[in-house]
Parts: sequence; C-alpha cells; structure tokens
Amino acid sequence: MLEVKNLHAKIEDNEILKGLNITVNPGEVHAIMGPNGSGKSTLSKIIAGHPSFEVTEGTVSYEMDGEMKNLLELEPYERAREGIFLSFQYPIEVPGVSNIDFLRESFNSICVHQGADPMDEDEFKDFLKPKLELLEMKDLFLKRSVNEGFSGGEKKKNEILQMAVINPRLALLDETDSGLDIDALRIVAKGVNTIRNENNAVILVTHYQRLLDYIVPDFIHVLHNGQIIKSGGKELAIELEEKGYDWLK
Amino acid sequence: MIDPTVYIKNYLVQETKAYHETLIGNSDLYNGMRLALANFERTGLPDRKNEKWKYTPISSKMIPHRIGTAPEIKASKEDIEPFLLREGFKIVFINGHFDSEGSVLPKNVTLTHISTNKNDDVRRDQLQEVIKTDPSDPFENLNVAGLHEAYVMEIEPNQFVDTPISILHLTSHHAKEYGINTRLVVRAKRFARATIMESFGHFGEGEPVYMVNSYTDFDLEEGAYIEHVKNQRDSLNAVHVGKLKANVAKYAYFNSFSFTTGGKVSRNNIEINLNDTEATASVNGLFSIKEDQHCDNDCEIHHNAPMSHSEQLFKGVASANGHGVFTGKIVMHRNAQQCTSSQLSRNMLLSHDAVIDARPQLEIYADDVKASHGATVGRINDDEMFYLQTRGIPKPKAEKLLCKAFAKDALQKIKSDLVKEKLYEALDKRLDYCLNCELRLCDED
Repeated sequence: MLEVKNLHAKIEDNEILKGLNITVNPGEVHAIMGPNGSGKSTLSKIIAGHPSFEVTEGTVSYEMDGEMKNLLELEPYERAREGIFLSFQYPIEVPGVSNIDFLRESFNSICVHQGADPMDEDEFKDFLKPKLELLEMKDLFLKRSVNEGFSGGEKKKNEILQMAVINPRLALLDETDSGLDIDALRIVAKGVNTIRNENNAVILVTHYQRLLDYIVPDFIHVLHNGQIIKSGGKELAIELEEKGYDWLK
Repeated sequence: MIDPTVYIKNYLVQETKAYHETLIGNSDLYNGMRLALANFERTGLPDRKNEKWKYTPISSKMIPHRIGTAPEIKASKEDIEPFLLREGFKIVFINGHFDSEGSVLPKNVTLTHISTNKNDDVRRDQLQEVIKTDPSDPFENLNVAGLHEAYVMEIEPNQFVDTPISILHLTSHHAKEYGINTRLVVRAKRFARATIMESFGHFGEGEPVYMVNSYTDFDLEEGAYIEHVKNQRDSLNAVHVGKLKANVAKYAYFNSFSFTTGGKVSRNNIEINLNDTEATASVNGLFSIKEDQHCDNDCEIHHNAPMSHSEQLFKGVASANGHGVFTGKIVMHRNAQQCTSSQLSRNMLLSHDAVIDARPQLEIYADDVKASHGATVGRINDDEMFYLQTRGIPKPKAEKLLCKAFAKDALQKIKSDLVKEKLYEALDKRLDYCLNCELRLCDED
C-alpha cells in the first residue's frame, strides 16, 4: 500500500534522507529504529505532508482507489482523508478548541470524504464511548482543550484515541513510547493492537525495544544517515538493544 | 495648509458655542457645559507629539461634525434586535435621544435622566457628577460641552440586579455627520451587584459617517460588584472615542470587557483606580478589525492602596489593512504594597498588511509587589495548522478553527452568559468574513 523509492529530502539546506527505500503492505507492522538524527521522524513527517521538508529526489506511492498514486501531490488533509495518520512525537496543544469538537470535526471531514454520513453530537458520543474505555480515558478529557495542560502520557493516549476514531489505513506512530510510564505504555499498545488488522498497516518510529514487546513488528529497519542500513525480523530489536547501533555503521 | 488639529478644534469650538446659544437659561448643567468648553478650548485636541496618542493621530481622522441634537427618529424592532440580549432590561437611545417606548427600565435601580430639555428636578450632587471632568482631558470636556442626554444610575445597597442591563446607543443615517455624545454615571452602593452592557451600533442605509464620544464612569462602594461590557459595533465610517473610568473601593470588584468590531477609528480610554485594600479589577478586551479599521485601546490601572489587585487580557485580530494598538499602563503607587497585577496583550495578524502596536508598561513605586506583563504578535501557528490538517481538516477550516479559538478565549473573561452568547455571535460572523476575505472568498458581511 506504500512504496517509498530512493527518497531524498532536505529541510532548509540540510539533506536528511539520502536514498531511502521501504515497502509496506496491508496487515504489516514496520518498526523504524536508529540513532538520534538519523531521519526517523523526517520519514513519517514527509509521508504525512509536513510543509517544512522538500523532497529532492525519489517517489512516494500510496494505494488510493485500488491504484498506486503519487502521494506527494496531496495536501496533508487530503492524505489524512485517504487514510494516513500521524501520531505526533510532541502532540500540539490547541487552546480554545475542545477535544470533542476537534475529534468530531476530524472524524466528519474524513467520513464525508469517504462517502459516509457525518455524525451528530449524540451519535458521536456513543461512538466514542468504547474507544475511551479502550484507552482508559475519562469523559472529562473530551471537554478540555486539545492537549492543553495534558501530561505526556495523556497526550499520547489522546493521539491513539484520535487514531481509533479516524481508523486509518496507514498509521505512522512517531515515538509514541517516549514520555510514557509503563502503565500508559501498556494502554497505548493495547489501543494500537486493537485497531490493527489485515487491512491496515503501522509504521512505528522508536528508539527503544521496549515498545516492541507490546506492539510486535513484522519488520525492523535500522535507519542511519538517511538510509536504511539493515532490515530484519523482530529478533533484530534484541540484537540492537544488546549491541547498540555502532556495529552496523 | 492649516494644521488639522487646530482646524478641527476651532470648528468644534464654534459649533459648540452655537449649540450653547440655543440653550436658554443659566442652570448648573449649562454652566458645567460652558466650563467644559472652556477647558477644551485650552487643551485643544491631542497631536502626534502626545505620547498617549502616538499611534492614533485623532485630529486628522476626525470629521468636522455637528454638535447639537441629531434628528429624532424611531427605530423598528429589527433595527434594535441585533444588539439585544435574549433577556434583560434595556435603555435605548436613538441618535442620542432616549427612546421611552423601546426601553424596559431596570428594577431595583434608581435612574435619573438628565437632558438639556429638562433638568429642573435633578439632584444637585448627581448633576455635579455628570458635568465633572478632568480639565486636561480634551474628549471628556468635549463630551460634557456638547451634552444632550445623560443618565445617572444608582444601585441601592445590597441590591442584586440579576439580569443584565443593556444600554443601546444606535445611530442611523439620518444623523449623518453629527456628533453623538453619550454620558453615563453608575454608582454601585455597598455590596450592590449588576451587569451592564453598553452597545454602540448603527442601522438604516449604508455605513454612515458620524462621531461618537462616550464617557462612562463607575463608582463602586465597598463590596460592590459590577460587570461592564462595551460592545462597540459602530458604522465602518464612524469615529468612536470612549472614556471608561472606575473608582473601586474596598472588597469591590470591577470586571470590564471592551469588545470592538466597529468604527473606522476607535479609541478606548480606560482609567481604573483601585483605592482601597482588596479592591480588584479585571480589565479585558478583544477587537477584530477588517479593511482599514483602526482600533486603539489605551488603559491605565492605578493601584492606589495596598493589597489591591488587577488582571488584564487584551486580544486583537487584525486582517486586511487593519491597525490595532494596545497600550496598557499599570502604576503601583508608593504605598501600594503587596499588590498583584498581571497583564497580557496577545494579537494575531491575518494578513501581511495588518499592523499591531502593543505597549505594555509598568510603573512601580512600591517594593513588595507582584507584577507581570507581556505582549505577543503573531500569525496562525504553523505547527497547529499542520496538526489539524493531518487530522483531515482542510487549511481554510483549520485556519478558522484556530483563529476563532484564539479570539473566543478572551470572551471567557465575561461572566454573564447572556452577554457572552451575544458577543460570540457577532465575533463569529466577523471572523468568518475576515478569514474568507483573506482567502479571497469574501462577498458579504
């Protein structure tokens, strides 16, 4: 469903990705690991359409209406409507917009695009209920402004709540494990595992093997200096945890 | 070429003198008006060299307007409706004339109507309140010199006025090129409580040219609570200069909000005196301007006593060629120990041509106080925009959501839900228009 070929990208004059290749099929979970500054977050931001990055070479194709199409032509909101979701490493606070209004706005705009009817407030509340339970979140969260004054763990849970609401085909989880205590990590992982199925795919960007104990990947890729230098199965994570990244460079 | 500051001043002095000729007799009111004119003749209008008027060259923006009584006409229900709250008392003025049919006068308050047409049965102390001015303030003196109608409102001790009192000052195209002077004195006696909304607006044909000079002052006795909201939605060709003064006593609380979407040029002069311990003022405001509107909020808060408190939040959204100004000065006088004060001015620019000038100022003469201030001017945050877009919300919608959230946050400072609801409505409409314009989609207001 996603095919990245020879991707080169820069921000201002810094070249960050230098010929990256990755293919993701439905039902797969890919973990992307690597040292700081290797370009892990950049990859997920480019797929989501962050305007600060410039693609200088290569292609990103994504399956839409049964065909592989050029993803880079689409605006970020169009990508979201086509089923791409980015969970932010540092979720943005949006003061003044309540969480429930934000979720409903987001859900309805995607629904309408995909040809479904938008939900009214009451319907949407019922729809949300099991998802809140899944993430062990209280109703109170819905009334608060989006991420404003949330703890690190609450922000990440809120990201996964959005993911559960939007039900994306391709979820990019950018360091979703950072800043989480062990209980929150378990809840977040439970959320992701409940949402994943044979029709959707997940790309996990992470520093640590810990998350991969909870969300088990099919593939692990090690990113270094803007390229994937090693790919393997889930056992690669254990090796990395023991040896670090230096032996691969 | 003659200096506009001098030209307009001379014009207004002549006009006012001619108006005074029509007022026959020698009552205290007329004498007060004549004294105010003499003060104005002495001060003249502020020019650019006057630091307080640096960003608002008022004399070059003012039109030579007529002083005296503008045509008296009736307003229909539809004309008034946009300014009315869902419920509450209302005192309606049309082109400066009191409209007794359109008004529903509040209970539990004593209202004294002072008019140049009738002033025989007015209490002397009330009359003195009405004509009292700061001799050095040109607009206070101009207001009193050209007075037509004034109101003194007294809220008796321990009286709670539960529903808001709306005071409407509406101007129609019939009053084109007139000056409308409004004068209100409110005395909240010990532990009295009320919410007062003063609305300024227009109806009839187009966006008429006129000048509003409003002068409102509050006296809060011990433990009194007053919420004052100024809702200024005058014509886009009007010039509006307003003065708001409040004297706040022990344990009294003054909550003020200045909402501005109207006027070609608007200037709010706000002066708050916290005169005793635990006197508190929350002085807030919001403007949303479009086209070439100019809005200037100039605010001074004086902590004259120990343990008095103030807080301030002014927000502004400027689009197109709009120019917004905020000057906020907080003075903690020598004996004002253990006072607290926080001030914040936050502004959003929606276009490349809009301008904001923000000047937070602190003057502290006491050594044991807490005070903070700050000002920000920015555009819609790129990270927030990206975040909303990754959730499937298109750019224009995301922009609206973020801009409205920014502006509406300020309205939270208003305690009365009825008032808040009304201003939400007006703000929503205005921001939709501004944002559509920035996206080249505007066609109607």
